[in-house]
Amino acid sequence: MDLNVESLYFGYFKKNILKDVSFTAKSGEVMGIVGPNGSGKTTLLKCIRKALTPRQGSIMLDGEDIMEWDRTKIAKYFGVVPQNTNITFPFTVLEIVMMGRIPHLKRMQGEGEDDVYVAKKAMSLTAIEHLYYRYVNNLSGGEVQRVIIARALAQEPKILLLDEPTSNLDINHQFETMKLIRKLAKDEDMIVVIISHDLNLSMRYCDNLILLHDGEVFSSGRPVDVLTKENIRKVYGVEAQIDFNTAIDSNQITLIDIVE
Amino acid sequence: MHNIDGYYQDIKHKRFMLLIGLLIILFFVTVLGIMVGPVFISPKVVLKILASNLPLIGDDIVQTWPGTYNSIVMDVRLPRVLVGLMVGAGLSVAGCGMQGLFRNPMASPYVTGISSGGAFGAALAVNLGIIYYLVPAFAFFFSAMTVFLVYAISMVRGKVRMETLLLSGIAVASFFSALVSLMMYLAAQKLESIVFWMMGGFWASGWDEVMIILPFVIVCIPIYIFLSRDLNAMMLGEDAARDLGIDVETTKKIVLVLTAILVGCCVAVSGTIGFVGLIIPHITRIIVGPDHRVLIPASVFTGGIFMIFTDIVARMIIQPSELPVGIITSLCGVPFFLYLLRRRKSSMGW
Repeated sequence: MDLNVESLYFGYFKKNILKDVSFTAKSGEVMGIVGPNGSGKTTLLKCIRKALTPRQGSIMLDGEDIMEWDRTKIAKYFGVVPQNTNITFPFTVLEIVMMGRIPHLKRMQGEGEDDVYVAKKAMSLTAIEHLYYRYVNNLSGGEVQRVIIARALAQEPKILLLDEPTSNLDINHQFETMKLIRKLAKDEDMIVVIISHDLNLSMRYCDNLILLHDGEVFSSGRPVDVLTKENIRKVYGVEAQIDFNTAIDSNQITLIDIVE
Repeated sequence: MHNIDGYYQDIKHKRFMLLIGLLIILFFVTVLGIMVGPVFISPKVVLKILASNLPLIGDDIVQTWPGTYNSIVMDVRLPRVLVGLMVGAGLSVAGCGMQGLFRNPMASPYVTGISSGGAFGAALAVNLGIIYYLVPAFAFFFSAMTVFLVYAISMVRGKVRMETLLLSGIAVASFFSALVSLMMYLAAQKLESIVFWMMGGFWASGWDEVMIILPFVIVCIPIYIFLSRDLNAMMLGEDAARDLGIDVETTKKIVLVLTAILVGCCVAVSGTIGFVGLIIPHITRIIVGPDHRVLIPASVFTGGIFMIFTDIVARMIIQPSELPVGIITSLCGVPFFLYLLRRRKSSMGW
């Protein structure tokens, strides 16, 4: 499966937030979006799933124009994991995960055995089966994030969109989440698009990267080609040193100082 | 292996049993509400009188009770209990809806300023010397108008902003409260009827009131149930709900219109009865959980039970006179609620 974004423009009033953004994300691969604050990462992720309507450009999934889909069809194809989720009311983990079945059910139709089965599978992929009866508002941040990922998986999406899913997690959970996302792309043959601020994790766990700068694609391709000293200096204004680290079999970025 | 299937079935079964249980309690409280008063009527006689007024089986029941009991039950107590049931149910369900929209357990139907609007309508009607039975019409009109005003203010480019809704609700409520104070100041000797109306009560409830409120309750509550899954999804946040395919803006608009109509007619019939719309959704959530598909039907029962029960207390406490039920709802409801809050805080996480 291919998700094709072609010369996308988005803006409010006279200001363009996204300018001529094009890329292709393939199933089985993790596509990372990196870039400074305000570079349009979240806006791009919203445009992809038609939560915002672009001014120009097309978004095609295997040749089908997503702009013509209704919101239920989009919900069947796109699973979304936001940055953080606050749930005030005492829903159980199972209840939250089951909400992922909503796009597949008719109004007033109750969940059946197959829906429970899908929810169970989603919970086992994210390793939260043992939490099924717990109240979500009593869980730790890392656990809640996994519940939200499981809910997105219960939608049985073809495309998983994640907006900085690791930003509120400790290092252990950051690793765990990135590994899980990678596993999902490979094992479930999903298209995964993830926004991240962590350049090292992006370098290691993404197959392809887009570096956004002021709403434009500054660079795209394999992480080693995108996250270079020059690009980091130009886009972030930060001097970096990049070494190959044999311990992780990947490039390691060390941030040195702000460029004067 | 975790027995999720078994757990899921248990939960479904438990919820069904809880709903049945609440329905049974509601039935007993209804009968109790008809039994008590200046003349005590035994439950057996109450049931017989009710049955004798039913078609088909009614004629088979032999009258063994004084004739006056018929009119006490059928003309006075039954309509009053029914109005209490429907107002309690209406306020609670509307409370569930508003707490769902705001994703906040502190919300109530009155955050839209609806009660102040209704109070103003009633006060205006009293001041203008409008005939007595048009007071509810004024109250309903101004209640509903308040919600639509607040709704119009908080509408930006086709979207309802919840923060603006809350703030404009507070502002509009203060404005109408000031107008109510003005009306009360001007009302002089009619002050008492305004104050009584604002405290809320069912002393004027007869079959006319039943007929006013019944159609609204029958139409509005099923729509809430129809929207219950949308409200569930909105608990994850508006963006997340939209990503699940929910039409968030339409849901918000429908819930606000329902609040205007349903709470508007409750306020019109019984005055501004406080705390029911805030506390009953909470208590019900503690009993059946936060899933609106169960929460809303359960709130119909718990709201009805609570309202009938507090009305019984209001009637009994200073016989032969009675207290405004609005005083009792707060006096009974708040300590009970605080007790539940303390007791369940650790396990429910809030």
